[in-house]
Amino acid sequence: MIIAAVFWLLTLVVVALFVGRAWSASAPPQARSRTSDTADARPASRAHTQSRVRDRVLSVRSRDQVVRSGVDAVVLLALVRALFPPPGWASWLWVAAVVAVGVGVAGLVARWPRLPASRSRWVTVVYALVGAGLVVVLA
Amino acid sequence: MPASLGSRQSRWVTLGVVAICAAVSLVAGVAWRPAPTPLPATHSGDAGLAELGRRIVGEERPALAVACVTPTQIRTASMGAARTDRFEIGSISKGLTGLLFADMIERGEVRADTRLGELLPVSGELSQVQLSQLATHTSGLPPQLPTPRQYGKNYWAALTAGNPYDGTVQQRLDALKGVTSSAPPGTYSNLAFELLGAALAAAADRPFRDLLRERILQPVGLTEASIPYADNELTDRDLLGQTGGGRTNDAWLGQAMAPAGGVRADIHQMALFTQRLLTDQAPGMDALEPKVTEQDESTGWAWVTMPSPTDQRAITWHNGGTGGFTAFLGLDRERRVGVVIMSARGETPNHVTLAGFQLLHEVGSCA
Repeated sequence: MIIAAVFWLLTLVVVALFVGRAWSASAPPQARSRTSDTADARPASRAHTQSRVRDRVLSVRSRDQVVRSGVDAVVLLALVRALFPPPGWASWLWVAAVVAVGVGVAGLVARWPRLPASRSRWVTVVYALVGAGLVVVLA
Repeated sequence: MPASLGSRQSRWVTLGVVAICAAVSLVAGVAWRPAPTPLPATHSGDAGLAELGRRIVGEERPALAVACVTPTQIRTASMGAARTDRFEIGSISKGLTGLLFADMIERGEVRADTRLGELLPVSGELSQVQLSQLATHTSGLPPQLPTPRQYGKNYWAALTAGNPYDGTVQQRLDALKGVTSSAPPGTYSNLAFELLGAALAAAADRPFRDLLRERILQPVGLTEASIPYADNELTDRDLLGQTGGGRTNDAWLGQAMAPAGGVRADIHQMALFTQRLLTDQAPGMDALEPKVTEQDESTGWAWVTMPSPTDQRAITWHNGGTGGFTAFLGLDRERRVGVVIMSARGETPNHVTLAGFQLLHEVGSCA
């Protein structure tokens, strides 16, 4: 039961990450020099810290990053369905998570032209193919 | 084009993409929702028993069959399956193997203390294990072969809704090297019953399924029961069950696992079998008598007798669970009432067992 709960939680986090990244408009965090960090050593406000964490987690460097994030979400959903199906009414939460992934895919499609391409396209293609294979096995 | 018009169009396009993706994913999510197909509203057989079965066992399974039996009466109900459709009875097969063991002792073909090494080509501590120890889960054998290959098969079967117990008797015997009998007494062992079946077949010099069919299945009314070794032996009457997540599970079958969990039967014939047990008309009835007792639980040759968790009455029973099925057969021998539940859904833990005790309590005299 504990393992199942860990998987459910992990899946929710990964799905949320994918949707957040797919719709996030934030740019990658700027690299800061050590000097400027030292000079700006005032204690950051809580809101500021949260904002930085959010930027760091949701920032999108390339299309590939979002696609891989989507593959992770889909594979985890398939794994939960296969090994740790939520009991009773909770199975509808799984359906809600699938819809959330759909909304994430919509974000990816809508933002695709504006997302920077990367050089590791073939790695992403292989990653997606392996993901698709896993989904077929788990179906 | 004015910038505001372009922006508005872009917003509508985005909204359209979201609507389409959300709709497609909603359809996919509902289609693959991780839950078994629910029982249909219709049933065949006894309406009252069908209602009771639905309430006690639950609706979330594609097929359910229940029976209530006395020495003079049989009531059955079937939902999502025809009365003649065969379910996997899983480890209730061990109960049948236990009856065969008792019958062969009565015939003088084996003794309770016959050593495994006298009948099968096994060596080391395994050769000293007695058949009675195999039949009471006191042999010290592990639940299944403790080999990396078997563990791999378990994981693969869990991922793919497959069958982890395929294989021939010879393959099981070949894989026994290094297996010790050091598990604590009372360790529930499928491997033990696989070896018991193989040993009984060797003693009679006949294939196990022919032996079981002739000595047990035919006399107890399980004339249409099957013990398939491969998928191509399944027919339209053989149901495929679903996992708790709603995936269709492969049939669990194979030559080696037959004595431990390879029998398939329909609800009417399981009810006939239960009636034979209630009226002491089955061969090898000594299998039901307690041989090993620990606390308030006694084990015969496979059959368990213990106080019902529902009402503390003494119940003799066995349950079964495979990837796609769960089953229960319980007897209140004092009140002379028995019940059978067969569900086309794999469940861990086996919810059908508790439901069986509850059903036995609620059917009363089965009138």
